[in-house]
Amino acid sequence: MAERPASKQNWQQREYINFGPKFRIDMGNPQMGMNGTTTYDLLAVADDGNTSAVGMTDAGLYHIYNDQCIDIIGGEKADSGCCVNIVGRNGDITITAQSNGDVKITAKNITIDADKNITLDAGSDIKLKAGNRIDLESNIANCDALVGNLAPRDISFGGLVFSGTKIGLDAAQGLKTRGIV
Amino acid sequence: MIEESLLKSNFVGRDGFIWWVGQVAPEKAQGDQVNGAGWGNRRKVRIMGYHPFSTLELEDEDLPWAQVLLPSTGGSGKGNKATTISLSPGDNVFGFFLDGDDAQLPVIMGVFGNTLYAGSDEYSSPFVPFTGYTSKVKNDGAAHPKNETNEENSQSQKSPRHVSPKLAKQIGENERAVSRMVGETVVFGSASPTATISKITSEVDSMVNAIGDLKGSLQIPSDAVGAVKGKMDKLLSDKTDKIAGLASGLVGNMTNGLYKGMAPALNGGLNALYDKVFATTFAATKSRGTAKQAGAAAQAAMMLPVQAVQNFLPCAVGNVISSIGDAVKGLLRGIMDNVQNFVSCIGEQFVAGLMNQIIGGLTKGLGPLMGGVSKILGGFSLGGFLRSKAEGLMAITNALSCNDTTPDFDAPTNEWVIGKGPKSAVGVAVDSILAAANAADKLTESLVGGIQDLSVASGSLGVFDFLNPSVSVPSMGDSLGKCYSGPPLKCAGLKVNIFGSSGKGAIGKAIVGSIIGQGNTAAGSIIGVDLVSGGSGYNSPPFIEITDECKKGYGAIARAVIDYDEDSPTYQQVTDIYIVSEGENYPVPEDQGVEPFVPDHVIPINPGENYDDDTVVTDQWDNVYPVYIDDDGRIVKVSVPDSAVANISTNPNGIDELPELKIASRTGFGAILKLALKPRPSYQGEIKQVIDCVS
Repeated sequence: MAERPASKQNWQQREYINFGPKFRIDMGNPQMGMNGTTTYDLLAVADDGNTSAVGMTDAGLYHIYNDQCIDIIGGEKADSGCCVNIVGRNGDITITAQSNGDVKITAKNITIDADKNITLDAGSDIKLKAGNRIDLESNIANCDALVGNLAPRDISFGGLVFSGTKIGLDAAQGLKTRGIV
Repeated sequence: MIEESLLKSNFVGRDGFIWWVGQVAPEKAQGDQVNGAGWGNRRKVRIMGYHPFSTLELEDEDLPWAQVLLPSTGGSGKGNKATTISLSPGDNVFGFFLDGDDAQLPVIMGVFGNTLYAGSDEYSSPFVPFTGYTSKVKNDGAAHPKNETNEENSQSQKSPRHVSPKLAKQIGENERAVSRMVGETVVFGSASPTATISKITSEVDSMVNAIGDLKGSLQIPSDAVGAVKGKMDKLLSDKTDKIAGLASGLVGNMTNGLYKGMAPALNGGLNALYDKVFATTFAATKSRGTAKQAGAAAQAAMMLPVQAVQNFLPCAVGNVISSIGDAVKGLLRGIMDNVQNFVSCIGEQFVAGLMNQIIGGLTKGLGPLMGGVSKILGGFSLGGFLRSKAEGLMAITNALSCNDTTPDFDAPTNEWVIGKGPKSAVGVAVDSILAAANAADKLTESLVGGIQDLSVASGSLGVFDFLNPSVSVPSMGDSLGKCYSGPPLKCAGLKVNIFGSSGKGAIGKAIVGSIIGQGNTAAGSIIGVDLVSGGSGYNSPPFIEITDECKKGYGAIARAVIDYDEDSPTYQQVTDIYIVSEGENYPVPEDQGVEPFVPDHVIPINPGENYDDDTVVTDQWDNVYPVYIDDDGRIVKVSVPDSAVANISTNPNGIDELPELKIASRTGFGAILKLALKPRPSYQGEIKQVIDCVS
């Protein structure tokens, strides 16, 4: 490993306060990281080795790392309005449950408001369930399914297989009864 | 009373100032003072010249308490203003006696900083340096390196770095990663047709990295090996679950495509069946009506077999996923055992293996049901269809009609490296995946049986390179391709990836400076990017990623500037790439020319405001750059003086470190200027004759 020579690292600017082995504040540390040098860091380590780090790098990346869970709670004394506000001024906002977790959103009402498109893409199943009603409103509404009671007859699997065949009405009725078309 | 006080001589401020140097006694001597039941701020101190060097003569516990004087910024506690004292056992402290020559009321005024040369062993005897760690103040060095010095040097109180744990180890034994998450790639949610494959390969990549770290841990005492292996097994199990889950989408797409492909074949078969039965019956009965009825009956007789095929559909994804779990684990275990360095072809082969498993799962699940419809299948083959249409069935390609939703809402980049930033996606090499899948299938020679027999136990998984124990050996013999996955053999390749915007075609070459070492070991920082082509169509600045083949370099961050002026000939082109952070340890590109780099032009990143005519711009070589300031005090242009080029050109190395422009101004603020470099034009020879074409 070839670190930059000390003469090209700005150690003059570095200042730290160490409050013992569990917490420190480090400012202007010139040691190189993946996003440049350190502007500041608040670094903590618990007795069992869990760590947290909050800070910023000189290339501008602000970070919050925590080995265990993170609580962000707001609005205990707010009466109404927005109590937790996440805004990305430019670029995307992404939420990723990386390993084996789910993403859950719970509220009295939930609004997803897209300027353009909304896509729900599931590897396996999507379930929409409403206690009262489900309304679909659009200029165009299509269903492309091979089976099920929403599958249009002309594109369902059974419909495609038996399309144009000579099976009589009674047999066709049997197909329908059996859910084949 | 006044006279009495005047006579008193052993009182601070009246009888000289008697100062001392001493050592804070060990933890045991401090008793409850350090365990939450103390009074004031005190420490037992052994004072040089007053207290003996031996505990036999004076026990630590019998030393006097010294009050600790707090700095005026520390707060006394009044008004809730307070700071805890930070004295440790073994600290060398300085103070004075409140009671003068009586020397019974010491006060600590300050502490001497500890140096690397002072010992940090356990306490042995008075005045011998010892550690400040105690039974209650501990540091095993796992997260923050152990360090008991407070000096003005780079080794004092090293903090964890913003690098991956693996890189931290490579940098030095005293280096720690600020988080184990740093360096991990996150693939964002996406409806992009290739997102699933990207996620799968990313999972495999992350597993290879994690396994590398864990295998490194196997150099530990044998009694700890079991725990490490347990972690490896858990990792394998987690990744298997994750990838099997991700594969659901692929299975769903392939199942859907299979059924949609099979339906016309069955329909054609039904029609052919009708024709055949009609013809046979008509020939026998000469009755068109009877023949029609017989044909229709023959078609109707296929209802149940078709229904059986259809009934498999809702359960297909679950059945296949549950059936391929072991095989996925087998594939992953092969990678775990053999692959040292994740390369894209390993990812492609893994997806190919997964695809074969899915094809095998579907054919195995549907196979028994196909007998019932064999009469109307014609030449349709499940395996053949799936394999021939795999590209489309995996939804890798997706033709859209005008009414379909366009996927323009995908992020400019769908991958992010924690602690670093956006990552350019390698892309999904569909052809390579299919070629590997088909080649593996041919080697197994039997689609259903072969694929289903692809168990680790049978050894037939060895068709994939990553299942070859020699895959990480440079001279490996390849079965599917030369997918060597050991440590990179050559490290001189350096790439500037320009991505994440609407445009294309911009090309840059990284310039390495501050070079340390020579030959193959030469490495340095990125001091500039030579923009070879500005490309076209950029409506926002693309991301810049600088990488090397060996993943040795880190920390270089660059940003692009594009031209927004519609009337400009370089409209929507990348016009500059400037360095935000130079990074370190980047290999020197083999094609970095011999010509030194000199200043080309100044890039005004931010014009600032309130600058006046006294503004002076200089570089670290004291060259002065002409500045042009508009009426609003903004720096609109900075020229490179001929002297700067000439001065630097006289240096045989040209500019060999990151150039920095300094702005001196009494009034202005906020301007940011960067100096762009270019290779010095080659010498064009001596001027032989000047021809005046005007006169």
